[in-house]
Amino acid sequence: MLWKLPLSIIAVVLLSGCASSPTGQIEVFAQAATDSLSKVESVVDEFNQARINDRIVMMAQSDDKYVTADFAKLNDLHLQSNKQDKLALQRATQSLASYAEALADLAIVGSREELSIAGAKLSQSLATMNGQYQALAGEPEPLMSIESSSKLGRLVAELGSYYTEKKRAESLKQVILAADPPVQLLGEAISVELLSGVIESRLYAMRGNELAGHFADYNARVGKMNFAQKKKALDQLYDKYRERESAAASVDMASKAVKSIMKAHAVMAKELEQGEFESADILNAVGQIKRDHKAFDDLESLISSCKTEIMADPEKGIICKAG
Amino acid sequence: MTQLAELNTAVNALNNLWPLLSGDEKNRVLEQRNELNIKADELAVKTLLEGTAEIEQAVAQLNETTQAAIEAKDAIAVDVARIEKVADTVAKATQAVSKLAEVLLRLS
Repeated sequence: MLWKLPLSIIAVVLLSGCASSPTGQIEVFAQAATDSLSKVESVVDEFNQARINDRIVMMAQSDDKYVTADFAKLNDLHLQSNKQDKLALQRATQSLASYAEALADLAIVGSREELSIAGAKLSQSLATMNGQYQALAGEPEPLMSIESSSKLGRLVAELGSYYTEKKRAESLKQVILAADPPVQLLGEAISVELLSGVIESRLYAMRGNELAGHFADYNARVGKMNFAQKKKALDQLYDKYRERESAAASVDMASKAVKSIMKAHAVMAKELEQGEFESADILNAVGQIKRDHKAFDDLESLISSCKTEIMADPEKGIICKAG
Repeated sequence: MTQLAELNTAVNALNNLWPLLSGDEKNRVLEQRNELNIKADELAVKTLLEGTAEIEQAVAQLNETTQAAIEAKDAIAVDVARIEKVADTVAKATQAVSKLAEVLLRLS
């Protein structure tokens, strides 16, 4: 009977401890962040393609003659060709993704399931021993009741969970608070400097180079065209102009996704500082990452499924032009 | 960044000019546009490859924190393994006691 007292006390401690344990939200944050960051890679691909296209545009705008060897030079433009020379954007994104992955691993280490199996095995063995005792001693009463032996097994599982959850909570708090300043700095650098500042501005200028070529063609032919021909040609030029305006759509979406990760991380850090592992604010911030990620997916599927042309509509946003 | 922005602005401005020109004049402006465009491209690539000292420092700092998270996870995993080992040892001991009891029962 003596062991029953500490057991009941421990059970109460366990129940109160579980209420503040770090569970789903941090893990969900880490998963959502990993998914969103993988999309930044597609922006790098788009930039690579645009650079190659830009060189072909410059070739087409000159009166020079070309041979096959001139195209071979285009391969050197691919920024991912040298793996040792990773882009700052990729290094920064990879650093954030590794962090998110480590955070997800830390958030789930020592799960209840793992420890429950150990506890269940123990309960089973105790029950067997109980039966043997009754048979050997010829006692009608068991050494311990069935209820008690299963409680002991549960105790092992719960004590383990309590211990690991407490330790995990302390570690998560330390890690997230220490990571917040570099996460904010990197997020800002990725979204503002690298994505918007470098890639978006270059995409815009490169699309402009191509558009100028079409204007030059139009201007060279305009004297020989009637109204209908000019209207048709100008409509086509306008479509290309709109296309340039939407060139940076994926950059905007990626930038938005990175910003929502930064925001969610800042919310988490703030809440953890106050000892809150789960809150409505964290839930909302994580939800925003998922919504931004979904928007990115929508755009991606729109781009991949569009059989005509992607363009910006002032009222509808990015759309697939009707065939 | 400012230099890249200036180069892009100049490229965009020349793109609004050369389609209106012809002959040598057009070729001269186009050549100038190409020159600035290539400079802008090189500068963009340089920025994307090198990043800034601030970015590198933040990457290093975050990588350190990531390592700390991995170490914390490993330490917890070791503790979990220990708890499981204790439970397992106790379970094995009770099984051994049960087996012994079984033998004793047969002998008695």
